[in-house]
Amino acid sequence: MSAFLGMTKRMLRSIATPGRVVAMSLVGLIGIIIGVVVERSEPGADFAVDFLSRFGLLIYVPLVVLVITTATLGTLVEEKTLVYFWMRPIGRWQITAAALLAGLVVLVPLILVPLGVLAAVVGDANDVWGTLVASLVGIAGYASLFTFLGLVTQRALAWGLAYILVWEGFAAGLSRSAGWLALRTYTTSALSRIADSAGPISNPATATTIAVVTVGVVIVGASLTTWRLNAADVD
Amino acid sequence: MTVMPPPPPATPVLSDAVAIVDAPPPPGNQTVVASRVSKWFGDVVAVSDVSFAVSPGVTALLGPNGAGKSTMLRMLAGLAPTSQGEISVLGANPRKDKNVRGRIGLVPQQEGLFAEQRAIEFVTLAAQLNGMPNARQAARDALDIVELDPDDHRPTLKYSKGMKQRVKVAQAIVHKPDLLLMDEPLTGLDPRQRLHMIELIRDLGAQGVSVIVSSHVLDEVERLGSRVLVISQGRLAAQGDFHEIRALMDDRPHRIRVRTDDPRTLAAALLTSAGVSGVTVAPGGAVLVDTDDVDRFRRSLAPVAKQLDLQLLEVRPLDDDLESVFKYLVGR
Repeated sequence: MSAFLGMTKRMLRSIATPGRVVAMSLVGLIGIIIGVVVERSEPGADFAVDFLSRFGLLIYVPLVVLVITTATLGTLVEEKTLVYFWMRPIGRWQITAAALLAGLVVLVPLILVPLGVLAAVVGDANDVWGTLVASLVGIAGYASLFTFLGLVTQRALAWGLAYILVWEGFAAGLSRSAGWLALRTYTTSALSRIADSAGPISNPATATTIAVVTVGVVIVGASLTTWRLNAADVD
Repeated sequence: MTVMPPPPPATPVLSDAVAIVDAPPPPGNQTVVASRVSKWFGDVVAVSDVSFAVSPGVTALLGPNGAGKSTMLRMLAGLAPTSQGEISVLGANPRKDKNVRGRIGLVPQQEGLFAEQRAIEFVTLAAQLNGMPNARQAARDALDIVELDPDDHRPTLKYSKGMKQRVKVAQAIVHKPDLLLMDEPLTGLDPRQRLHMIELIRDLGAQGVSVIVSSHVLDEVERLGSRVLVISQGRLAAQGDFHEIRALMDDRPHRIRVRTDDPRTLAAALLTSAGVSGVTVAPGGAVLVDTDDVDRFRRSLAPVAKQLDLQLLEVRPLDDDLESVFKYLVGR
């Protein structure tokens, strides 16, 4: 157990750099300020959920998860230090699990705090809970996918951004069937159901579907990462 | 859980390209067996049809830069799959068997360490991941062996190249491996540390650890006093005792360039000299002499020049570098 925690701690130190944490926190702070200013000037019934969905779930969550989790294993590959984990007599899944855990430890406070504050300022208690749960869904799903992405390509940030903008931001909104293949459907569904608002999505997924899809995406992402670690040509 | 004993290692198939073949270690004593191993990256062949076996003790993987030594070591460590052929380490596939990975120590070529971590933290983590019961103490011992201070509070980022090299060695030996793979471990060390590292490598070999050390420096390998695998252009050019290979390198034909005020007269005279197998006058006027016995040729050159009243302006061996030696061995 100490070996696993040691590995997690090691990864944590390499991803939670002051630059990344400050930059991501600033984005969150800007979101809070914009949300408060707009809410004060144009108050509306569905403004809180709408803003939390558009800024929080469609931009802030995937962006922060992308920046942090592509670095978890990506930094090790880039700096050629993955070998120091890879050569040890441990299962590759443990490296994957440590990477995901390290990502979660950084992401949970980095995302939940600003979005929770934002929801509290512009919305009510249900909005806060909805935002927190939806963010957790997004963190889990995106983290497992982007951790894999960081392992397979050195241009993970560019590819991840393209995915967020093109697929999650655009293509998923074109048709209902495409929407079911985008994580945003499940994050906004969670917010919509808990906040009891039809604003973000017209036909939200059920709680069971959200849970099953989230767990499924995590399993698929973790399995791909472990497979890649097994098949990799390590420097 | 039942642990099955490892299967007996396969007898290696020796490559046709090998210049010197000593008797491979007996099968029961082989820790590493490479059988007809090749590795290519796209169209580039990094290692071609290499076979050898290694037993406890020090084995040097000698070859010029870009010869395929690092790729070979990476395959032995299981870091890279072979494109063709098989590698057995301690009776198992190092890429698939995690228990075997725990019996291998690797000093990689790259300098990269976890920059902001202290040496003791880095080596302790290595010990923990290898399941050492008292990881911290094992790390202290390993750092002591490589003459680094376990209580040094500086991050490895602030270390010199030589210190980083020693940290890499410490993390590779902290779990007392049966096989130690070291990729250019003497790089960046000062002369005293180099001597200490050579002694350490020899001690580990004497203790029964199979140590495979890659190097492109002939003198380093000579000081290791080891068995040698010479690799060049991805092929195994020679294998055997260092002294036998050294002798072969010294006995090969050499080409020497001689510049004089009358090249044609000197060339004609040298044709009948002892030990000279060929003489050519190059377009620039230099005399190119091929000889199997450099010392004998050098001794005879001055008297010939004096007798003909010629002035010798330059006498320079053209193929005394390691690259030429490897080319010769591969071309045999």
